[in-house]
Amino acid sequence: MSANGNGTIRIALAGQPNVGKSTVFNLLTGLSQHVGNWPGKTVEQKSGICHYEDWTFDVIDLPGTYSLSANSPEELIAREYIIREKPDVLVAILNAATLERSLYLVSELMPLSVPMVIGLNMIDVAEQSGLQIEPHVLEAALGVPVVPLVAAKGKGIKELLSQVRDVICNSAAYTANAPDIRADHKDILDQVQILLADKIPPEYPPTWVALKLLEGDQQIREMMHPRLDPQVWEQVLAILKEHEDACVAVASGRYEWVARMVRAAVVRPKTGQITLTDRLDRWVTHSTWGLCILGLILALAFWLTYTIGSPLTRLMSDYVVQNVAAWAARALSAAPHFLASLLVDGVIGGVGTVLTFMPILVIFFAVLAILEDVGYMARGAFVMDRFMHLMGLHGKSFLPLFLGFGCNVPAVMGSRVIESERARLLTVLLAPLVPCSGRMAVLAFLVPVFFASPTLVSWALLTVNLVVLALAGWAMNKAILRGKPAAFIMELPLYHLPNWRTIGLTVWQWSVSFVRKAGTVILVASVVIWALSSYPAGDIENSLLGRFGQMLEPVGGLMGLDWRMMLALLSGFVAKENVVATLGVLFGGQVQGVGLTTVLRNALSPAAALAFLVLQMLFIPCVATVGAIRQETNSWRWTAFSVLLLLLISLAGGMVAYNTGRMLGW
Amino acid sequence: MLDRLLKLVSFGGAHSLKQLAQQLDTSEGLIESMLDELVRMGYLKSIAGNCHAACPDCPGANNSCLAGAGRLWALTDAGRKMVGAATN
Repeated sequence: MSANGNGTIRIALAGQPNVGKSTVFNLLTGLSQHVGNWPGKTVEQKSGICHYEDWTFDVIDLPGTYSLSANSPEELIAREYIIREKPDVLVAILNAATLERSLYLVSELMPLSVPMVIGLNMIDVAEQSGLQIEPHVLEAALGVPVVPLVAAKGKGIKELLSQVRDVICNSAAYTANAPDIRADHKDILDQVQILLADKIPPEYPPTWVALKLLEGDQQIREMMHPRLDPQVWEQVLAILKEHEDACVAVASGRYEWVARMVRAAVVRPKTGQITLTDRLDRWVTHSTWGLCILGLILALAFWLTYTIGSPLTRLMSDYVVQNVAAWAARALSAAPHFLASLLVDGVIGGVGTVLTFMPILVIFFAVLAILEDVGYMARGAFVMDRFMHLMGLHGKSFLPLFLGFGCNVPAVMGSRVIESERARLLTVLLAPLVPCSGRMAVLAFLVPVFFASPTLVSWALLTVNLVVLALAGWAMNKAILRGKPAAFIMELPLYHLPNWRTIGLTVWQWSVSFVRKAGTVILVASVVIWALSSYPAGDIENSLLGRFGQMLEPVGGLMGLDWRMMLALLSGFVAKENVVATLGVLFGGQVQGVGLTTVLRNALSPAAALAFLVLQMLFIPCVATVGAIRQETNSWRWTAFSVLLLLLISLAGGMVAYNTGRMLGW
Repeated sequence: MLDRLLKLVSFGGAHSLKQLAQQLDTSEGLIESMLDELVRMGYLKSIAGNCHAACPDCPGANNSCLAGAGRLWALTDAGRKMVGAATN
């Protein structure tokens, strides 16, 4: 028996890339394949002959496509072949493991009204990932035969051919359950179809043509335009213009159909699907508990940092830096005074001080690297965003919040991914309020000097910083952006055990870059600060720097800070870590064998120290960040606004902190 | 369904695939498929997970700058307009 009178049945194989369609084709046709090109195209065409019992099948392998739009030659070839050549049976190969994607193509194939058989391939892969698909339920839902296959092992091919034969012999037994356009656009589809009436070429299904027009299909537009009277075409265009969202309605209808099929035929057993990731995320991404967990994890990060890092930093300072300074002083005792001073007060005082708190920084970054590697950081970002949402920010600060923790420069530059000009501007203006590693370095150094509970104080300072960020964002949003919400969708990765090699590499690379910075930028800045503080008079108070610093004392005085602290703050403009280096140079002390820690503790009250910490956390960013702001905004006006804004916020914050500290009796 | 997805996303803030799948009573696989469709239509933008190579001193140079997230999509102005038009 045959369908077209000359003894062969024509099968067209359709499917998306990577569903195993080629494997099925090879199994069907074996060595009797013919490879050429589609007429007039550079796309490969494969055809062959298959014999099964007393039947002969002409098999053509259509190009693999995700859909049947007019956007690629492969899609045009596939759909034109089906419409014009009208194969006897269309065999659609699906990947059972990615059924949702595979079914989308079926939703486009069905309206072409060609008898269809579904080959549900990779059933074994689907089962391995815990998916249970019921082919007979899918068959009932789709209205066409569904044959499970494991083409890689040659299973199911005979059943497939048997089913193809059955469709030919009993075509009336199968009614494909094709998708509809979304319900609210049904009447518009009918209107267009009425207008097209008898002008559609006979081989094209009328409803399909109308759907494609609503989708904005260029090829169908070009096909129908010359066939319609100008007034009728104008009416069609008017409908299309009035319903520009019709393409979404058409695609929506298909996805609703896919969702119904999947809901019917795919069984996801509850116990199998609820993984450890799901169980943890129920708490970790919760709007309230998630925030608490984030707070706890940050506190833990600080606690580990100080517990392990502080003793190491003290060792570095007391035994390494001080001894090196003392040795240098002895070795250069015969050398000119300025050289000894340059090396001991300038270089060792500056760079050496910065390097002593490397243990603290390395540990803090190792903890963050572990959190990122196990998959927590993405959740942290997610939860922070919800917090921002509560403050009325609607996710605008999402990207800089996490980019900026390392360095504010990528946070500013990361704003490029945001489409809306105003949202991008807000992101750029907010980025410097994110505490970068340099600011955290200063925090890490100074907090243990003045406070008995460094974990609590660090955590509190960080929280205050983030609250200020949220408030500033909210205020700027009201003033500049007027409530246009940015929106993001994240794929949260699965949790997994930490990869120590990756973490080790990250921490190593970071440490190397930190030491390089210390050896270049901070070294130069330290020497310059030393020079300006030693000349012309040799004593710091009457030096060039000293005289400049004393002009800043009235402002510093409002926060209990002397001119040296103010200068240290300003020196952070070069690089934030420089603040510590400058403190090291200006407060000196190495030559006498007294650590910087002791000197600072005697020089500042805890209230003033708190003011300084808040001030430096919120202060104008480093020159690299300001440069990035100028580059991204392309405007000196906005750059100046950013600098002024941060100056005001930081001074206000510093004064509030100082007065609060005073009230607490510090 | 695409329009419902766009509308959910347009409320602002960060959404996870899992949340969206639960809200639309479907699978994460279908959500991802629909997100790709919305990218093709220009209503969403797919954001790559790799840092720009522009910062040689970046301490996180070999990490994902985006906090180890998987794929990331953002709503475009066209997407926002589409939701606005659909609700009018």
